[in-house]
Amino acid sequence: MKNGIILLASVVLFIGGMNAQERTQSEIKRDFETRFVLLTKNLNSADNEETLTKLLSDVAAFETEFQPHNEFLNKAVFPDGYDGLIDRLHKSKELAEKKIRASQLEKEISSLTDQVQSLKEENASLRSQLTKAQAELASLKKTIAMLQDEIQKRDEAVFALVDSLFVKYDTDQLSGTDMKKLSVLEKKNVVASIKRSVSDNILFLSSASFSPQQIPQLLNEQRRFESSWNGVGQKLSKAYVPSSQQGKEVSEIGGLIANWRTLTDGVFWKGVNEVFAAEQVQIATFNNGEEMFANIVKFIDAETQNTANRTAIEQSAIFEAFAYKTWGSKLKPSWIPVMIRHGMFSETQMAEIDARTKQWSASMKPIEDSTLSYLLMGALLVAILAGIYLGTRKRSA
Amino acid sequence: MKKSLILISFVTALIVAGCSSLQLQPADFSWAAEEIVEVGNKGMVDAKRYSVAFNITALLAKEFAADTMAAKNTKEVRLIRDKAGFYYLTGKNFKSVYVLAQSDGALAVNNAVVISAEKGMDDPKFDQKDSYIELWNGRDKYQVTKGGALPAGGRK
Repeated sequence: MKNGIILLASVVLFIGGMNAQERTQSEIKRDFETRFVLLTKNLNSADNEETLTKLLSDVAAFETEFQPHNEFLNKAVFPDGYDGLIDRLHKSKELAEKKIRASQLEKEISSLTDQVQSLKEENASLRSQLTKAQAELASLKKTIAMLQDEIQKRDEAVFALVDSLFVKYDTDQLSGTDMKKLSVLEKKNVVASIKRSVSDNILFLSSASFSPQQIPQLLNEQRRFESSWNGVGQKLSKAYVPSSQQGKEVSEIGGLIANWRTLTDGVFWKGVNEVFAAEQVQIATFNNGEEMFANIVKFIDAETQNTANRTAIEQSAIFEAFAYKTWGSKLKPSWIPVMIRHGMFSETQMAEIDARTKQWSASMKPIEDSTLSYLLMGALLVAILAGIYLGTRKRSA
Repeated sequence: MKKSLILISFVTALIVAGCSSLQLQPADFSWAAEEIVEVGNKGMVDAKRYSVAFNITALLAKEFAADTMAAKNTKEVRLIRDKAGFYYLTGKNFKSVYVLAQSDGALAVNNAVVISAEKGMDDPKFDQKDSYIELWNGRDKYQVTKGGALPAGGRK
């Protein structure tokens, strides 16, 4: 039974196959023309890569199928024949490929345009945030300045109070009057105020950033406070029993002031280094006056000896950055005086740097001179060439 | 006398040559494939590719005789031309293939080759075979010439 079904199916398939092969030439021609029209239409309307791939495969199959009839089709299909229509099909194929590529590019352009738009919006948002942040920063700077001012005023008030009570700090023994004054201090809780003032200054230094103009002032404040405390602290440490509340606070204040000094010095030296860095002056980092002096001298010496390896313009730019934009215009007017006042730098060191800067300047070739010499050399060369040319012309004439 | 004879012979030869028609050979009028042409309202058919147009009203009347409906329902016919220049025309429900020859402003029926005397053809098609025209009717094939038709290989 099963064999019978298979046999029957085979016969049907065989007959069907024979039928499929049995085509008159006219039918072959019509099939060719109809399928050509359909393929061309489909190629013209193809709008994506997937469809095109399928159609390219159909075109290849179409060509293969009708290739054996090309001689007949060249005669029967008017006016282009097999070759002409296949050629047209290839052109349609190329056109479809180009069209889809163009469509893809169009999509990419559209996507990129969207991205540009999105980035534009993001940019606008960031600008707005920046403006806001700048406003906040300005406000913060103002607050910091106010805070610094307030802290300074309080420090002054506290010490004014103490000064008014202790006229002379250098007395070793406390008199009976001094003891009375101490009781006034306790009532007014002055020691606690000083401690809080030092703590506030430390907190202020740790939590805020400062402009280069503020930093020398910070150092001044710290040193002034420390100096005031050195006088008052000695008195107070003698006045109080170490185990008493006030005695403990007095000893704590000494430690806090030392901490404050370290922090202030750190901020100060960082600030000086940044002054040079802002103008790209290549001076090695330093953390105290001696190092600063040594590094500046080293830098000047190196540049003085290096003039041969630099152009006049480079030399001038580096010299200008150091002598005019940093040392001369910033350090000497505002930083160096503070440093000298507090023993961090000496007049001699400053004079030495000035002298070396002058030597450096003297070793440099002025730009004007070299430019002038180039111009003169150029003019001389032109004159020689003109002379040769005129001489040659006269001789030939 | 001899001279006169030669002159007469020459003149006679010229006259004979001038009277016979000039033949251009060989010639090939064959169409590569059949043309399926629509029958117009007034019975005109037009094979545009070959610029051939003629009226088949008389031929339809001859084929279908009294069956005017069959003649009226004939919307298309198949036309092909052999190497010698004879046209072969047939169509659905036709019992014959008509062999037409070109004459002065007309096509003359040279022969009506009967394929099936009893029943009209279901689906006749022509194929160009150079020495003859092949007629397909379903799976039956015939070798048709201007003189008649022979079954070609019979039923397949």
